[in-house]
Amino acid sequence: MNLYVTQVKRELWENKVSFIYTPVIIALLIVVMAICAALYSRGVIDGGGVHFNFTSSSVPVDAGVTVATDTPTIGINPQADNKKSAQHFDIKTSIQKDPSAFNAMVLGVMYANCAMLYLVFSIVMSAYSLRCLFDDRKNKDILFWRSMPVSETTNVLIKVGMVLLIGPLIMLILNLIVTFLALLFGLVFLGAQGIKLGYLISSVLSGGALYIPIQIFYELVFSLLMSLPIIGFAFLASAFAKKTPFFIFASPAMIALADKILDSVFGINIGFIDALAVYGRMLLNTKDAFILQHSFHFDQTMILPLVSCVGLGSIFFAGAIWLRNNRYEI
Amino acid sequence: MENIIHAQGIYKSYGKKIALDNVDLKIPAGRIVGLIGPNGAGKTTLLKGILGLATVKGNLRVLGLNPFTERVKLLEDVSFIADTAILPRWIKVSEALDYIEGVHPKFSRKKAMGFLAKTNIALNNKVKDLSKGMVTQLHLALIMAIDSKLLVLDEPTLGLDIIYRKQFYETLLNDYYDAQKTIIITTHQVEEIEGILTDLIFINGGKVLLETTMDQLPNTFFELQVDINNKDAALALKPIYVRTMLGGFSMVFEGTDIAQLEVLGKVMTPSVADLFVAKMQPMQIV
Repeated sequence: MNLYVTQVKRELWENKVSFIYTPVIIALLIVVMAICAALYSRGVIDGGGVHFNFTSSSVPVDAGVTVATDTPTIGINPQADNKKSAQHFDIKTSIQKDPSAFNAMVLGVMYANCAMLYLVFSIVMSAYSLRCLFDDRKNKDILFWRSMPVSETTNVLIKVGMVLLIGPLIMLILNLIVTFLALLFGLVFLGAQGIKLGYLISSVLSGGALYIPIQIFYELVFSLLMSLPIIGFAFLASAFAKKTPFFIFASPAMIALADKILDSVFGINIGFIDALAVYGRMLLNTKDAFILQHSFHFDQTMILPLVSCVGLGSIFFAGAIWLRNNRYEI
Repeated sequence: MENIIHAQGIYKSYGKKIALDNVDLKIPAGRIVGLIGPNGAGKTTLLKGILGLATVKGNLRVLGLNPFTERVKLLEDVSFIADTAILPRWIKVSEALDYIEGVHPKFSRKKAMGFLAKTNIALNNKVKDLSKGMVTQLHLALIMAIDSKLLVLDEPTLGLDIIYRKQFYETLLNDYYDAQKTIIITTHQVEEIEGILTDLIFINGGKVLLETTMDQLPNTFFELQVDINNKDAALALKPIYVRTMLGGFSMVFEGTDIAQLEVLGKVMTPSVADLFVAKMQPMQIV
């Protein structure tokens, strides 16, 4: 067990900027922004969302963060220029009228964090998958790692675990921390304005802000399992490449182009585009897991696609392990 | 005595180039072996085979194990330093200690800390912030803290200045080596390791040209310094190498009767460097 924990630590040490510093800084920024917005705004609600306005001058400046009360989202407010005509409500009044509004506010902050982390981790994991079995060969670090009694199977599987489990776990922990901080701050802020804490807490407990990060973690892991053919191929490209893993990773696009040309010019269909289309349909059928809106429900029709994706991904991982064991070109 | 390494008919080729050509080797426990050869001689390929980093044909057992198929088990008892620059540049000294402690069952953190205490290396230093000499010191401290039976050093002092090179071998000999440990060293700086070796192996063109102990060397090889008057008589005894020197010639003989040589001039034991040149460039008669 100590071996595996140490291997995970090694990955975190090596990639601490990607796996720890960047996500933590983003989560901190989200929390700080939310607190600043709440402290310095008038907390007006326009139309269907809570709208944070910074009021450092007499004319409110829009921070551009919109959190809807029904389905929380984050983004540039398209109605920012029309805010003068928007219908405004006081947060306190709004929460007193509808207890779910507090839950939505807490969730809004969590979703803002979740969306940013999702974006960051998508980039981090893609880059990690493409270089994790390449960089040590390029830098010749591999000679040090291979002087230790650790098999390549362990080494590769730990790296797979970083993508499938550790990344989502970090996201879960940060989402939970951000949710907790948003809840704590909301309780203090609104409690100071005379709203009963029990009322606010029951709003969050019944609204699900505390368990939704766990649901998102489950959706994230499922979506990663469905993405295993892509992740596995990235690992294979990383283990295979002598110079640039990306070119190998991008090779399916060339095969698809060749398939298209062969089909249109010679009438020969090698079936590659059809296979990609099948995979695309599998992903489409499970798209709810990818959008992380706690709307995903697993059903029996997803078993075969899931097994197929895991199976294909595993073949690529096995190929990567074989290459690591048998191709030593340093 | 039990052989740590037993190689029989080891063969390896890269395309048409033969890197190892039916190499036979037996290295017993408790020896310090110098594996000497010119560039491209097959040293690194042989070491890769011994460490399970490359497949080789033939029968190769290291500590009784197949190094390629049982590499992980083997590496519990075998350590190696491939060259001075392979520690990951991003790693901190403390992280390196934690890592090896976590994965290596025979690593002693206490020993490593003891070795590091004799250097200027701090635990929070990153490898990229250390000088090349300090990286070597760190690597050696980490490796020497592993209680392994075989230590393989492939050009361990490459690129280091003479002070670090001397320190490296002194530490190795004084703080690490004992009768239970076997060390294999490859280097081009033959003269620096000559004093610590117990065994000598010369390799060239994938073949072992010489496999001897340092104790046997003075009984087998002789260097004769001879003047012009005795040159022909000395040449008649078939030296394996001849070179001109100030006021005469230096000739290296193998297995010749020393009494025949002593009447011709001054006889001594050739240095490893001279012997190396003699074996690599035989019968260069001037």
